[in-house]
Amino acid sequence: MLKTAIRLTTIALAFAATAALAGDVQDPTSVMNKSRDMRKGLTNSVSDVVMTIKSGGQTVKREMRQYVLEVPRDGNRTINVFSKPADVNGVSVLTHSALNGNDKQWLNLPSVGRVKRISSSNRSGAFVGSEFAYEDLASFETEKYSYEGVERQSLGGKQVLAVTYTPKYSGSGYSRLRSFLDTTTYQPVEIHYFNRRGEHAKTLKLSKYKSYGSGGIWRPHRLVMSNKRNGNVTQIDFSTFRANGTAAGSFNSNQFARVK
Amino acid sequence: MRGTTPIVAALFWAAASPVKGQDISVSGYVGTQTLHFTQDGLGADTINRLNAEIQARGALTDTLSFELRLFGSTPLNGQGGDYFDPRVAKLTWQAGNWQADLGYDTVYWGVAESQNVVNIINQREQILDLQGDLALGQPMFALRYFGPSWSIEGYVMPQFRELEYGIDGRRWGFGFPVDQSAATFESPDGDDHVDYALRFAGSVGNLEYGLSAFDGTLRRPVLVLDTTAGTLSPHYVQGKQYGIDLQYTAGATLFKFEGIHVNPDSSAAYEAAVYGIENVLGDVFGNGWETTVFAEHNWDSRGVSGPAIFQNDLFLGARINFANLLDSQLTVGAMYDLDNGGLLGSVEFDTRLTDQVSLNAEYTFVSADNPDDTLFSASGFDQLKVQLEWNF
Repeated sequence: MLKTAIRLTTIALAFAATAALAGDVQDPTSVMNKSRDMRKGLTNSVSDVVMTIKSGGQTVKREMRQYVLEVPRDGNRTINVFSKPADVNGVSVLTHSALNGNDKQWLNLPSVGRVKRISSSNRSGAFVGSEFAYEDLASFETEKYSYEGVERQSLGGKQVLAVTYTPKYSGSGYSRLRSFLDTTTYQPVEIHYFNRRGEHAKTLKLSKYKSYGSGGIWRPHRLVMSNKRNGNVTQIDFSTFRANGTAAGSFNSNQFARVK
Repeated sequence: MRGTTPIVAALFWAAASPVKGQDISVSGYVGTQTLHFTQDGLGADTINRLNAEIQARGALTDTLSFELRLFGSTPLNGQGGDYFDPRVAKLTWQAGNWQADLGYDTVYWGVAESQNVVNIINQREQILDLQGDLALGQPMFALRYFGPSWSIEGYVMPQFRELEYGIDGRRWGFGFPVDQSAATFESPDGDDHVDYALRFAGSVGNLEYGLSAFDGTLRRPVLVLDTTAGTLSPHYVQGKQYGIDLQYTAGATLFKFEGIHVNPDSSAAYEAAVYGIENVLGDVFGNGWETTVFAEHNWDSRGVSGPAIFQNDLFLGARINFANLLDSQLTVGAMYDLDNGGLLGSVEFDTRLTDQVSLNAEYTFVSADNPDDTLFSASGFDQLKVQLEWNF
């Protein structure tokens, strides 16, 4: 009788413990929404960006300035103005991110004074021969993905939340992605990219997180993308984010060409 | 280049001024250009030039800034003369949604790739570029108002820039040499005639649109044959041009349309249009290259007997971006005359060689057997142009 009671109590306690754990971890969508909330709030920012591409024994450094405008209930607007290498100095790209992934982009070519709306369909293509695909550089909007699951894991001896998700938009090079989030800041420290054959093709490590504002707006300042197949590495370094690099109106397609 | 000197001097003073010195950036390039005519004919086979462009921009006050893009070219093997062109040399005032520009500027209107019929503000830079993409600076006063998704721009242009035919010593392939010094103007004001333009443009959803109007000296001249001298001379006429340009972006496909109605003061009105599609095929070779294809139809209502080169021509083109560390790109294109069977084609390769040095090589060829084809005189003028530039 006592043995049954002990057994039942043990089972009941085990169930209670499991229930507590499940409640603790939440569902993947709310985890990713919380992650997004903890990095929004810079509203209008600018940062100097250096991209170092190591490929086949060669190294190329590209420099650009990135302006970001956060838009309520819509995707971010970004202006990237390239400065190095010198032959692309002044070329800029305006991106209006859409929550459904159908981003709009415009290219400004100062040598001919032309602003052109371009297609954003080649999402899986490599940006300037780097390990970042266009979709990797696009603004992370939670609505672009469907979330499969979240679980606690250990990564390099540290406790993280692993969220697995798949792109909802067409033209992606990935069958799924897995993001490992810091349990305090909910920011990704590592992301694994799985190609269309389901193989783990690339790994992104995010580091040098800094908190801005009083509420804790978290931004990484170093991104390192490694290609598991060929060992190529691309590193992106961000300078400290500064506020109000350019007026909100500059992020319209009729004005962004003026932004340097 | 009357009138340039005071403006350019003022801008150089502004550039040298210690006011807001930390906001001034300077860049540009120095390069060589070799033009080689691949078939025997009149004139030199190879023309070498040294080209340079200096770019500077800076803020003078919170609302006033300047921008310079000064281009110069000098011969290296004795063919042709020097020329200097301020592509951009202007002061810009910006406050709220208003912007005013005074000085030389380069303004591009259009959406198509083979030809831009609506692009009327600037005279074409015909020396460096046969495809009409590059422009000579246009002196102007421009006023712009920016709405959230639309803008209105007005232009007052007090000086006209003539098309250059002779300065680089090259052959043109019109059948007769062009005597630019004999250029004439319909307006008694000549190149001092003040021209006006207005444009309303914007975007709604995936549609970009532009409506434009121009009143003044039409940029493309009529070439008049002087039978005694055996030369062609450019005659610039007055007229009005109304234009519309549209681009609809649907995922990987861009639909484009440009149309103009031209009303010359002294001859019959006509229309011209260019329309077509651009499609991003993506990685068709499976190795990371990005391929884009173009197909456009060019039409001019003056038809096969008129002066238009592209009266009923089909353009097909492809661009391959090699997505490599050197931003290498290959572009091939051909304009096929559906009436006369003539073909104007080009193959262009663009790449960086090092961080500072870039290379552009372009081969242009003409094949036209029908003497009625405007292009007929140009066959035999196939040319290879190679540009090597040191960028800073």
